Amino acid sequence: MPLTADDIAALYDAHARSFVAYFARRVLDPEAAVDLTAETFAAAFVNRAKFDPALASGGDDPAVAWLFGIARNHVAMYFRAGAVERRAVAKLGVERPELTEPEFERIEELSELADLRRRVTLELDAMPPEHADPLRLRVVDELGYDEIAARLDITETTARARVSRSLRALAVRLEPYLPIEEPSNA
Amino acid sequence: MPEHFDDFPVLAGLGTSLRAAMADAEAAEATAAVPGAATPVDAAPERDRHTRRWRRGPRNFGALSSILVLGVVGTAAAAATLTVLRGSPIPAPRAADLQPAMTAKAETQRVLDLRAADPSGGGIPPYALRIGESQGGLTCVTVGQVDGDQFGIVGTDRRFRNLPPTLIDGCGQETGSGPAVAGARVLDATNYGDVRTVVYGVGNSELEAAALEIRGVARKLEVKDGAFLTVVPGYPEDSALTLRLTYEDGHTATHPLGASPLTALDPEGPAWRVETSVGMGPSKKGAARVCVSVRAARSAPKSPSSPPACALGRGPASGLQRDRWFFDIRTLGPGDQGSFDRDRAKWFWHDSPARTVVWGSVQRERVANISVHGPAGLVREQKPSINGGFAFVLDASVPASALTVVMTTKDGREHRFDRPQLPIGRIDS
Repeated sequence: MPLTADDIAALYDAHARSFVAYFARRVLDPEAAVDLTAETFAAAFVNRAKFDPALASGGDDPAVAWLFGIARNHVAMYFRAGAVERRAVAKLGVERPELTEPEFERIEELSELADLRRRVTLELDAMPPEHADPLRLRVVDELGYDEIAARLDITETTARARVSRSLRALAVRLEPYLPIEEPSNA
Repeated sequence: MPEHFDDFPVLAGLGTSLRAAMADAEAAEATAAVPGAATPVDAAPERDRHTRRWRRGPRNFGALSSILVLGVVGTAAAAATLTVLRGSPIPAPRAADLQPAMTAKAETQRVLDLRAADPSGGGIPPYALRIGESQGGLTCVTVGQVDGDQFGIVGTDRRFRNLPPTLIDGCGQETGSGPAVAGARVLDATNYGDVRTVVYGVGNSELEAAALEIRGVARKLEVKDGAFLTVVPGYPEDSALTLRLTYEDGHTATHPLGASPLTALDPEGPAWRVETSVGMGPSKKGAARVCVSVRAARSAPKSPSSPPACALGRGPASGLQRDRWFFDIRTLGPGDQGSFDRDRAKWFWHDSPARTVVWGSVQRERVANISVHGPAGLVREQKPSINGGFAFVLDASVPASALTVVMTTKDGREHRFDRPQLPIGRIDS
C-alpha cells in the first residue's frame, strides 16, 4: 500500500529532528541541514508511489530506511552541486521558515558541530603542508585546480591528485569522530 | 502544529507547510482522477502551475550569487500571479555578524523614487534603492524591488519577499571625488537568461551626469538627487560594463564594473576569461612553458575551455615568455576536445556554440596594441593585459583564415599575421 500524506507527516513528526542532526553532521551547515530535511520529506511525498517495504533495508521501519536512502542521495547531490537540490520543495510549494539564532545554535549542539569543527581544524593542522595547502586552497578558498596549480607551481594534474589524496587522508583521520550509523526509529 | 517541535519553531513551521502542501497535492490528484474534471495542469495549485511555466531549457552558468540567497528574477510571468505569490520575509542578519559602522538604523531607511524596469518587460516588480544611515554615520544602500508599497526581492521561486530594514548591501561616505556608494549588484539565477546586474549609485550630491557603457555603447542614466539606477541582463563582464560619472566641477570618474583586459566579450552570450599558466617545458631540463587558455568567465559543470596556446619561457623557472608574442587562431565548435601533456590534461568545448577564437600572450613592455581585422576591417582591439594574455572571441561565421592579427609595437611599427604564431607548435592533439 503506498504511503499517504498522513503517513509522511507522521514520519516527519517522529524523525525530523534526527534528520536535521544527520544532515548537519555531514554538511556542517545548519541552514543547509534544514533545507535538506525539507527536500527529503518533500521528495518522499512526491515519490511515495515508489516506496516498496520489501526493498527497503536496515532498521525496524522500512519507511525510515527508505527516507534515509533519499537523504543519502541528497547529501551526495549537495556535495556534487555545492547547493541543496530544491526540486521537490519547489514542486510542492513548501515554505521553509528561517532559522532563528537560538535554533541555529541548537542544531549545532544537536549535531555536535563545534566538536567536529575543532577536530577538522586539528587534523588539518597536523597534515604536512604539501597535503594541507592544496586542500585548503580547494575547499576553503574554493579555487579551481588551474589556480591551485599556478599558486603552488605544479601542474593541474598534480594539483588534482594532491587534493584527492589529502581528502582521503582527512576522511580516514576523521572517521572515528563521524557517526556511521543512522538514527533508529526508537 | 505538532507539539514535539515546541522548542524548534523552524521544524514546526516546516511541518505545517509540508502538511498543507501535501494535502493540496493529494486533493488535486483526487480531482484530476474524477472523469470530466479539469486537467492536472488546470487543477493544480497556483504555485505548481507557476512552477511548470517557469521551467525552461537549461544552460546553468553556475552559482556566483552575491549576498545570501537574494538573487533571481523570473521572466514572462503574469503580473497578477507574481504579486500574489509572497514568501516569508527574509530574516535580518544576526547581530553578531554586523559591525556598527555597517549596521543601518531602521528608522532612517527610505525607498528612493528612482525605478528601473526589468529588461524583459514582463510583470516583474521594478528595481529600486533603499537608503539609510548606519550607526557610524555612513550612507547605506540596499538594492531591491518594489511591489506595491513593499520593498523586497523576488526569489528563485518567483515569490516576493520583504527585505528587513537592517539588511543592507553596502555603506560608504561621500567624498569630494566620488559617490558614497556605487557599483553593480548581481542577481544570479538558475537560467542564464534570468541573470541580472543592477548598476546603481547614491550619495552623489555633485554628480551632473552618469552613463553606463554596455558592450561599448553608452547609455545615459537618469540622475535624481545624486542617485542613479539601471538594470542589465547577464553578469557585469558579459557586457564589459563601465560606469562613467561626470561631476559639476567637470571632472569625470570611470569605474570598470565588468570590463577587464583579462576577460573577452562573447558575440552574444556569457563572457570568457583568459588564463595564463606556467608549466614544465617539452624537456624537464629545458625552459618553462608559458601557456594561455580561454575559458568561460564563470565556472560551471561543462564549461567550455580552449586548447592551450604555448611558447617557451625565458628559462627553467621563468614565467616570462621568450618571444614578443605568440597566439593561436582556431574555430572551435560543439564536441571539440583534445588532450595534451601525454593525455594527462584535456580541454573540452562541450556543447557551447561555435566561435572563432584568437588567443595568446604578448610581452607588454614591447607591445602597445593588439588588434584583429577581418575582411571588412577592424574587428576588435585591446591594450596588453597585466600579464600579457589576451583573447578575442568572435562569431564562427568569421573563419580563422579570414582574420589578420596586428601587433603594434611601442616603436609604432605594425606586425601583421594571417596565421597562428606558435614557436613550439600546437601542443594538443
